[in-house]
Amino acid sequence: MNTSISQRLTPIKRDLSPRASVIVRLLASLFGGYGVAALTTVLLAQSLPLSRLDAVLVGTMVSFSLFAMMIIRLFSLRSHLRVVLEPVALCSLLYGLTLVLG
Amino acid sequence: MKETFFRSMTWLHTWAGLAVCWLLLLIFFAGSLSYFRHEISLWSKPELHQAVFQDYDQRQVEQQITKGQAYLADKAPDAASWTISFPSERKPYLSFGWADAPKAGERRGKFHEHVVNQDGQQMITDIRDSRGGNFFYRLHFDLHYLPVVAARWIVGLATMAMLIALISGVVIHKRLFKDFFSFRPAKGSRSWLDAHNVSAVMALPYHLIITYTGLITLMFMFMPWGALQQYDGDVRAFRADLNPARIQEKPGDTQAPLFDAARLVSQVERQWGIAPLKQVSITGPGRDNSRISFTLNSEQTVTDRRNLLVFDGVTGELKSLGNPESVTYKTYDTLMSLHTARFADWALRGLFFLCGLLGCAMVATGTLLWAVKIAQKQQKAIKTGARPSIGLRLVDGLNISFICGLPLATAGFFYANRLLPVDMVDRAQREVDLFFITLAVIAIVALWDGLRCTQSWRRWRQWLALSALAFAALPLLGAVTSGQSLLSNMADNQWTLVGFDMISLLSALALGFAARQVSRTKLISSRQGATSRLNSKSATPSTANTLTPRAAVNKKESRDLSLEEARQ
Repeated sequence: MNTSISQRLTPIKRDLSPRASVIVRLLASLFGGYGVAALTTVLLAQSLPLSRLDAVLVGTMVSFSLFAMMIIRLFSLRSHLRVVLEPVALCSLLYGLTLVLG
Repeated sequence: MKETFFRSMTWLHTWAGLAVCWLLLLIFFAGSLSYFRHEISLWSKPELHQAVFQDYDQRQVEQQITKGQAYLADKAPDAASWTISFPSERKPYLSFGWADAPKAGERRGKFHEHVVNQDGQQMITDIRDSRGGNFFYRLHFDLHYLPVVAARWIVGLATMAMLIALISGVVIHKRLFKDFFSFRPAKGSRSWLDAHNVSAVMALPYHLIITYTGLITLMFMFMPWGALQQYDGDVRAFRADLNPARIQEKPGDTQAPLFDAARLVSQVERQWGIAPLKQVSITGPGRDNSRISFTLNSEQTVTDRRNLLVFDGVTGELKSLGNPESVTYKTYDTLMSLHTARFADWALRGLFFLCGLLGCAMVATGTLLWAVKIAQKQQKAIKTGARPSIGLRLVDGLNISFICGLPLATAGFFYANRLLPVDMVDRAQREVDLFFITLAVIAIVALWDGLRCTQSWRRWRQWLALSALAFAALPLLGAVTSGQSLLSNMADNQWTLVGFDMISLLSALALGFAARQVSRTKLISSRQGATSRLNSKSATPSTANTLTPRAAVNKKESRDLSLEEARQ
């Protein structure tokens, strides 16, 4: 997903020092990645057409794979702006969905 | 974050791995030993090695329950719970146990266990206080000396880092299949990379499953949000739904006579047919809210479905048939049992154990690989008299502390089990302390070496040789302190105890072999120049696959070395 054309054409900008880059990505992963996983769990738990317990189980069991995918993505994106904005946007979207569907 | 996805993943793999590798090694090591926790526990109680072993006997169950209930009513009328545990393959004796009411600040009270002699008459009450295999089991996810919740979060984060390292590792491994068959020994970092690849790829399905299911086992701690939201924050209601049979109530204050548990056996047989039972446990005996639960011995089945029947402890009325049966629940339960291997017989358990050791090898070769590469980079400077960087010395020190330390500390734990005075205060904890003291001694020596810049493979050889000696003498120690030697255990068909001695001897061989190889080969001592010389040869493709005579001689040895040494 990270090698899409639009990304490949973006010039590489060293907008942050390597150390700052790592810290930004780590924080985005820990909070943003976890947030996306947690909100997806809630969304699945409330919207899956299963019994309450089963929906909770499915939502919680898949959450860690989402967390892992988010971390991989946040450490492979080039633009730090996207590293910050993507989890924020995803979390907002998921939170909105839980409100709409809940 | 780098120019290409591939390079980003390489970076991620290196640093996610390096950040948690020593903790992961501890977790993998303790987890591998946990597959045999009942066996280790049995070994660590030599009082039980004579005259208590018996087979499960269906015809005696009712009588054993009656006897147990009477015994416990006499010994521990005020206990929080009683457990009558029947002989099974892994715990081949009948025992009556009870748990005290938890003291303030404790989640569970202390557990006592008395074992019935083969003749069914005498009781063995004087059993040494030892954590046995449960120490490694708890160490695997609770660590030690730390609050449980904090420790589990630390372990959870390390597991997540492990999952990331696995995924990124697969991504950066371009020739997954081809590398499976290649091992280029005596070529410095190249050989460590090969060993890292082999140990990772050979057991990759195991590594992936064990990591993910590890997260699943504690998932409601790490990711409680779905449950909290659906159950409006009522954790107890959720637990009752998830595990209806296991919900435990505080013993009530009102007294009520306990139902005769043996009279329930016919009802149990109506539900399960004639099936072996694992235990009968009675919570809150003598109170109005007591419960009597029967556990099925479901050793060979993968899911735990319906292995528990719960009866009211006063009226004898059937309360619960066990866990929910939806497909989702079964999936969840299967994932959990894949992690704990509770369905596996001894052979499959052994395979899981070997895969766990390969996991140790993967982690250890990974961090050794890092150290060797950095040492190569600094080689020129070191030759001209500069000190190795602090990072390199730190990693070297942690490597020797954990890779050599864990086997030696384990041996220390087993020696403490047999040599500490039996009536010592807090004995079980002193055994555990000795495990960590051994680790600490090795770490302090490593620190001393690191500060003086005298880190060397000689130190590795010393520790490995010492561990080899310790494990080689373990069967002897066992024979002297329990009165049952390896041969007499063989004669008595006590294969659990025989197995323990055999594994000790095998470990001793492997450690001894590793110690010998470390002193012989220069496989990993890049600081002495051997690695760079061999490496420059392998740089050209034409020579990469033709072994130099020296390398050919070393081929088998160094393969064994890198795996054996690391997996210990």
